[in-house]
Amino acid sequence: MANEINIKSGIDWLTVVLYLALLIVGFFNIYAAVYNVEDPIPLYSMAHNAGRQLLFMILSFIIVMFILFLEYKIYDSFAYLFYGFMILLLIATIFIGSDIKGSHSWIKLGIFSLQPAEFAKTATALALARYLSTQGVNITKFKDAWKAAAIVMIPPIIIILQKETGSALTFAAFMVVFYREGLPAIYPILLLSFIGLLILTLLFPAWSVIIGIGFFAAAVWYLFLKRYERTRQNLYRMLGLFALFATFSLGVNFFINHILQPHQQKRIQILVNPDSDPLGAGWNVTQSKIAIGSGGFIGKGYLQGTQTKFDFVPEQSTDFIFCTIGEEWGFLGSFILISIYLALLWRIITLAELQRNKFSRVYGYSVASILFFHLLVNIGMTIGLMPVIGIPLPLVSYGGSSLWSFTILLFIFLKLEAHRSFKVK
Amino acid sequence: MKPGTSIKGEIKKRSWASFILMASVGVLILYKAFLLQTIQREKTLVNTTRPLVAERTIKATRGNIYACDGKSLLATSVPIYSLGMDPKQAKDELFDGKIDSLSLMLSRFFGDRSKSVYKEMIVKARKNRKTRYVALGGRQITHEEREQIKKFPIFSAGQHKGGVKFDRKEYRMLPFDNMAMRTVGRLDKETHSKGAFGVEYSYNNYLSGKDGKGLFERLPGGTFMPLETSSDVEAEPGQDVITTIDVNYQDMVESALREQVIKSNAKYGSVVVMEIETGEIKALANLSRRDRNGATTYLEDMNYAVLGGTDPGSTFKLASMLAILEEGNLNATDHAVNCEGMVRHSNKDFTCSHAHGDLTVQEVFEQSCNVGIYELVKRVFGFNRMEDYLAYLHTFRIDQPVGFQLKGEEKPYIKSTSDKTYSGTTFPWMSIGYETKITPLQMLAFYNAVANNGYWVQPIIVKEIRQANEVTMKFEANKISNRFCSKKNVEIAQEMMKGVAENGTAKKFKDGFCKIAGKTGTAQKRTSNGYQAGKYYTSFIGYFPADNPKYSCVVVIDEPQGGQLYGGDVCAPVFRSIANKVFAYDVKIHPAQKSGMNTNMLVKSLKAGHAEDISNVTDKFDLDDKVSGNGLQRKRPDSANWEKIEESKEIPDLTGMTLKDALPLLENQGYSVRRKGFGKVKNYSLESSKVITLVLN
Repeated sequence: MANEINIKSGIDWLTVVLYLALLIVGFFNIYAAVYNVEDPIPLYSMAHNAGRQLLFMILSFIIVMFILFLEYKIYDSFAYLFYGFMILLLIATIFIGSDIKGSHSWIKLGIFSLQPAEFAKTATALALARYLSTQGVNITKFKDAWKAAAIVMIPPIIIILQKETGSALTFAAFMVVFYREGLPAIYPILLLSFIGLLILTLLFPAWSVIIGIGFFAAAVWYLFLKRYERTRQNLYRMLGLFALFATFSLGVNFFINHILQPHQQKRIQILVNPDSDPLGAGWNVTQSKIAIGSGGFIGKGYLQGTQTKFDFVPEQSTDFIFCTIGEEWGFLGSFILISIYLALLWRIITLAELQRNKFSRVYGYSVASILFFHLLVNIGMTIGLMPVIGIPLPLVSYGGSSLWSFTILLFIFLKLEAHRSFKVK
Repeated sequence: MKPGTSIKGEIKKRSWASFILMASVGVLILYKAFLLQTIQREKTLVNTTRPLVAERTIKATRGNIYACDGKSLLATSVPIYSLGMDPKQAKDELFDGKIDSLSLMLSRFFGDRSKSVYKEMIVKARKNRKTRYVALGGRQITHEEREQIKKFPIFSAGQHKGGVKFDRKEYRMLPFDNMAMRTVGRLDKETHSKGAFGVEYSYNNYLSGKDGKGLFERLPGGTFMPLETSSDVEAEPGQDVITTIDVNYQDMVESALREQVIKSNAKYGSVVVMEIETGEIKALANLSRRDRNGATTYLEDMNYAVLGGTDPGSTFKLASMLAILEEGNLNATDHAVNCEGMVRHSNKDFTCSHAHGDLTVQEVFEQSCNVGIYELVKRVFGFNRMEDYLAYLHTFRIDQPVGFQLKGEEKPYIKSTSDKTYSGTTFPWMSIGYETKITPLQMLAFYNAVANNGYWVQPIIVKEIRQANEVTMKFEANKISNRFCSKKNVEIAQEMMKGVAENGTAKKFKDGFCKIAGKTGTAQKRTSNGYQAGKYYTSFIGYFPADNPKYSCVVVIDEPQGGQLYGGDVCAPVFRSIANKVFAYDVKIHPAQKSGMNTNMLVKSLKAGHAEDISNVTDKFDLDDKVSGNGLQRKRPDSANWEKIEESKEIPDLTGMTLKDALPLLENQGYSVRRKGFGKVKNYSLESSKVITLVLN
């Protein structure tokens, strides 16, 4: 019983409140998404997604109790074990997973289906935290940085083999953790440059992008570098960078036109120009934007949405749940939801910085980064900032796997945090 | 970390940078949402009424491929449907009442699932909020089946009230299945919209038509509904291609060829039948062996006749012989050679099948004597004058492609003296059909020209393009108006080919419905290691009827196995069988019958009719059986005289009349007629005032 009291006193209640707020927003909007004016079904009915989400939430609370009850040390000690087990499970899923919409990422367990890829993020975060907190490991060292990168890159590679590219992309979020832990700033800057270049290459022909980079490099050379900085060595560096960017630009072009499947090509094309195929691949984005736009500043009111009902918007209660919020609660609702997320992210980062041990800190940053990445991609896709990538909105989208995996991700951190604050007291 | 900055400061910086990144993304998202929901709202919402409608292509119906009669379909597009239902469309009353019987009907119709499984599937989908489509049946259905299924319970209420959905697709049907499959062609497997080979491929531009465009509304759930608007661009249906293939000939040819390739377990066989004067290809068959799981089948998997260029072997001797005759001014009866079975040339043995002894020019050809050709070439050209020989081949057009309508015709390969592989042996070996590459079709074109008295005619396989029933394009064979050799020599060549069938290498098959003429060929197969013993490419090329040529035909059979390995034994019987069947079928090539027909028969068959009509017939055929009266006339079975049928309301005496005669009589009087049996009227009865029943026997 003593342990119980400790848990309560040590836990960060602000995070818990934000967590519950998101769950409640999720539940009511899932109900709105499945609500049928002509044939209303009670909130708690198991016949629709909202009722089932309620059940998932109750199970989440049990998971929370379980996590908080466990000794905090096991997350550190067993981090590699969890990770190894998860890798095996991911590989197994390729073969035993049931085929859902072409992807082999779900395991059927009786009435439930679990998506191991969702849980792999937590295991990866633990393993990364464990590795970076190992005595003598220093991420500024090239060798250690590569080992850390390997930990992060193995699961998404397997997940891509499950044909679940969207989930795999979320592992890019760990770049933030690497940066915080001291990875030279040049890497994130390079990554951002590549992303910028990627977008330019999608919008303009590759040759024009390359000429553009050439002009840019020349401009930097003559306008920004001082005479004494224009050394032979720096010239080689500039040329090297230019060659790298040009190759990347051509590579992207080749990748899109020759490696990507036609449906993936379509998605990228839609991002650049959603009107190119408004009834086919552009349909989702167009409809989603209409739904959100139709909400206006204050929204249509709860359960009053029309676009998100009648099947105009696909996957209304899972990937496109933000449409319902945008339509029924308007800009105000969107603002509040994003504020809750930002508050949660801020709180997690603040708490992470307070951690004494590196393990907890790295883990905390991982949690924040993963949540952040989902937020960016999911809402980004509904409002047309991102290509359509099927990943859920954390804690809000319908779905047991997603809800439980984010709950576990978050509450392991809160358990670690509770231990710290308890000790401080 | 740069020296000089404090570690604490750097960490703080990085921590802030991380959060600022997240926060700025948050702000970006809010900014975009703000734009969408306020400033750009109107613009976005305009789309709520419009974007549901968009232009989609309407696929054009692909044209048909017909046989030469313009009626027998070789390839056509038929609609097929996939069956599905929107499980929520039907009202509860209808659904609950009829779902059992619908499930039963579906189960019985398709037989793939039990009634209860069907029911469960549909009911479950009805309960699922999102499901708007259940696929049923597990296979595609035809138009007729669709009509049946439309009558099923629930479905009979229609698409809106019953929820039944038929998705139409086009399926390319080959009514004759695999017949002439390589020639007719197939559509490519990926898109099913372009031809992959054959006529489908070569005439794709005509067949495919032009896709149209129309506006469609996307309904919730992802189905599209066509909207009728003035801006629709109608799809232009593809044009029909009329080939020269005659399905009857094709059938005869394929069965004759199949019989032989199976018998000799050959690698492949190929036959082309061409009408000499018009160049129209009446039949083109290719059968290749496929061994799978221990079973051997023969099917069309490559158009060897068009694409299979190889050493033709002895059939090439016709070209050499014609060149020799032209150059040497010889007579068929001149002594040519005393064949001892072999000569040495450039340190190589130039052999014959056996020592033929003394032969005339004609006999050299009939016996296919290699040494004979060798000696004649040597005598007439000398082995240093190959250019002059090649000039003849050029005149015979044997070194050029025929310009076939199906794409992919291989160019003939005839060595010139400047060729890298040219050697001292080239000329003699070429003169008997080696060191070259010529397709069966190209050889046939040459033989056809000889059969056509030296006038070369291009083989064609497509004769017309039609749009609906209008002929939009006609293709005629390219005919060369000059004889490619002298009349005398082409006649000698024809006699020689008849001689092959009478006394030569194909004499076993001289007997049949008509005389044939031609030349056998047996070429050793060439591989990278030189010529192979025991493996032969056999052929027979010729024409029939020999005295009144109508069709030319090439038969090749590659790598026959077993006891018979030579063209005269393997291919000549196929040629003979085809000649027999075609001759029996094509009555136009039969020699004219003696004039003076049996008018008696005709007189007997005149029984009743209008006087005018009867006079017409008797005048035309100059019969004695003139009718004198007018109006309706008849002859009683036991009498030879015409008598008038009174046009009264009374039923005339019908006994002994055929139905054809009785029917107009009665119908003119306003009766409706029923009949029993066939033949002539035995008796008849009045059923009611207006109905007569005839009993025929």
